[in-house]
Amino acid sequence: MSNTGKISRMVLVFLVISLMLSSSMVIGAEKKVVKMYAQALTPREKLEADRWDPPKYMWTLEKEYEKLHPDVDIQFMPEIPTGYEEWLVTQMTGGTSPEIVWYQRGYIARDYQKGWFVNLTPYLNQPNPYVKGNKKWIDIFQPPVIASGTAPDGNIYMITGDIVGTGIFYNKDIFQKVGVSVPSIWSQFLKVQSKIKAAGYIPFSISMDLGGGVQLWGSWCTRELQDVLYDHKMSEIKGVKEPVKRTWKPGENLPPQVMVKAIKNGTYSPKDPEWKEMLRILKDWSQYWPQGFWALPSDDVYRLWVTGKAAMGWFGSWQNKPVRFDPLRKFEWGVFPKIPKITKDTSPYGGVDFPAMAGVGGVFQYAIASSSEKRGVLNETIDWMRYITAPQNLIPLLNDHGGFAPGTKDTKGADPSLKVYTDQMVKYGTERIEPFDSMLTREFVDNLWKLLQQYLAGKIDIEKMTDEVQKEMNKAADQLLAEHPDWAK
Amino acid sequence: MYRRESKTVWQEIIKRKQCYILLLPTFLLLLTFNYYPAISAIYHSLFDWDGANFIRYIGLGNFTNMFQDPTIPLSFLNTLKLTIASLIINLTFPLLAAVLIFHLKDMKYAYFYRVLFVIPMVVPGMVVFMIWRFIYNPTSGLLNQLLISMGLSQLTRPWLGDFDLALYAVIFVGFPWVAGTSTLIYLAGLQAIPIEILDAVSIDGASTWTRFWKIELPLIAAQIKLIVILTLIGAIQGFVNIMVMTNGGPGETTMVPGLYLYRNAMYYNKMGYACAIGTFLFLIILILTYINFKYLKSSVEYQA
Repeated sequence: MSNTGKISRMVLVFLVISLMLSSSMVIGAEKKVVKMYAQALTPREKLEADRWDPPKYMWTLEKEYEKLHPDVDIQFMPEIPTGYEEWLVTQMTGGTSPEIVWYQRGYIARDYQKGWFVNLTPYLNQPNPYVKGNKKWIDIFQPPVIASGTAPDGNIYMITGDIVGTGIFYNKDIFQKVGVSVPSIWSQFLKVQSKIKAAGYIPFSISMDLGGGVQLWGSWCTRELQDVLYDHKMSEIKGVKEPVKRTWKPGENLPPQVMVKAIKNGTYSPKDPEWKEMLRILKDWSQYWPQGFWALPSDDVYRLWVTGKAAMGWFGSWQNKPVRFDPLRKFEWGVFPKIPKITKDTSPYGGVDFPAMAGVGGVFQYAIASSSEKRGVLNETIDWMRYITAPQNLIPLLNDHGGFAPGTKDTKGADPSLKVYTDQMVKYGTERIEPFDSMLTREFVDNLWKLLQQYLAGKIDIEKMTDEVQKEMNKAADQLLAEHPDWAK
Repeated sequence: MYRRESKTVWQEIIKRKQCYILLLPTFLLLLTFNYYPAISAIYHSLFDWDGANFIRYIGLGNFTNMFQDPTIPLSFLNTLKLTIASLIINLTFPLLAAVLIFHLKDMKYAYFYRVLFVIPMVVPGMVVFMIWRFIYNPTSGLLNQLLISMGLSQLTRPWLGDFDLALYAVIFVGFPWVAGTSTLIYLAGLQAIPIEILDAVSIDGASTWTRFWKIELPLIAAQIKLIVILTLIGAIQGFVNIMVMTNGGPGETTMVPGLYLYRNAMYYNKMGYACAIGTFLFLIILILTYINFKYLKSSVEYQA
């Protein structure tokens, strides 16, 4: 047979296969597919390496929902362990993202104008058919929880449905062996750590690694300390006469536009004595952190604590279930959910309790991609979200994960072990100065962490550190003003 | 007399249409995934672009900003150090390994070692970096544990977190650097040397060193040139090792232009600026490749 004949045959086979594939796609298109990136709620089977049961309840909800709606196919994407932000940016830019994506609610102010997400306000004002007697979907949530997804244009772009908290997890056995008890003030906290260090343990497991540690613990430390040290100056920064009270309601704190204004008029600056005091306290504390904490992989922070090498660690409610079931843990443990108070003896700016390091929106903070409308599945996507946010579905879903409390008004059946975190948040409120990454720009935050690493490692002094931060802060404020000219008013 | 039949280009293409049809998918993929993004990056380097909606023509504004950005010279200095180190490594250790294999008299052993050096290539680079990250782990890493067990605990340190050593720790990854493509390229070059030349050298009684220095090395100049180009491109563009192991830290001590480009594009929404950095890197690689082609001899021919 001639070569031309062979090629003609190959082309024919290719065409037949293509036709078969396309016809199967047509058959598959009968169902409307709603894809979801559920982050830590992604259901999966237990692997040999898993030390506790992974979440599976989404599968239960999926089956029940598909029984109710045979024309819809709910699909879950596998969890992305690293590089999620890069993945999201490329998917959103290319319009190929799943219908539902997990998203940091704090970033909504930064990204809402990009047209990536559906404005959910009209849908939230319609009834949720899966909640008996409900007239408006928005009413099933605790108001601060759902309001946390509000962008500067006043619209809600996120469905936030849970509450998350943190606390100092400690090894009771080490505490007993060393002869120390849970400290209530900062000076005691340091003394306890000094004794633990002398006994040969790492007092406090923490990481300031650029690969993830500093973004978590660096952010928590700076936010908590600033809230205490700047307490007397909050009204001045906000430009109001009345005191700025702590609440756990996002939006009542100091929003980005207020902070940008404060940076520009000099009422908030890294050259402030309060800012320098924050750096001094952090450096003093860092002597009790693991060797090379600025390069310690963030996964190792938990490992050091759970294997009994470190006496304390600052973890979130999401560790609640792992710690209970982790076979690596061979000791009794406890949690003190609030950082010991900095008194006037420790700092002239002390004397105020720390706020709870807690907030709304942990694992259940989802946005709906605008591309779902183009693909003709927006209504199905909204309906699925209504289904999973109904308390009878949301609460078992969160209980199955074990690390997050429900953000709905109806909390019947919620895991009682998480109450300690939600109580702290309601009682003490959360920090008033937002995290730097939602307050300013990502570039500023990256540069801040690099400088903080250098300062804590003794490579630059406090003056150099604050000079550099001031430069970066001004740059970020200018960039945000250029992007939002109305903030200057 | 034979008269060459004159045909137009199109006639030639139609005559060899089967070859062109088979090549077409490759060309399409190359155009879509290699040439289009590269040309698009050069074009977008002239814009203030956030990668989504906002786009504004700013001429050479991104390039001007590059020269005022303190991270740029620092990252290029790190790249220079990494490039020099990579060149030294790739021009010595793999060459040594290839020469040793080539000189093995027993072909069975030569084949065995060749396979031995190739096997590690099937391990993805990312896994290698993760393993080395574990080796360097400050609290439970193999290196520090080894030092402690040898009674040298005073030498332990957070290798990737040490401001003075982090970059060198990254360079050290893959030690002894003999497994990989470079060894195979050198070996292929050595095996291509005509046996007559090597026999003549043996008859003349040349020492092993003379044979290597005067015969083998000049005759694998083309391979050396290829390794130099590949190493330059890899060292200037590459950042995966840095991103996985240090993420540019501690501070900015291991920052490289590739990683800075990536951060600007993916995290800071500065796609235009990232494109400008990419274009600048492209120009540097182009110039270095040209210099390499122009001034490095490909081979030396020997006359009997």
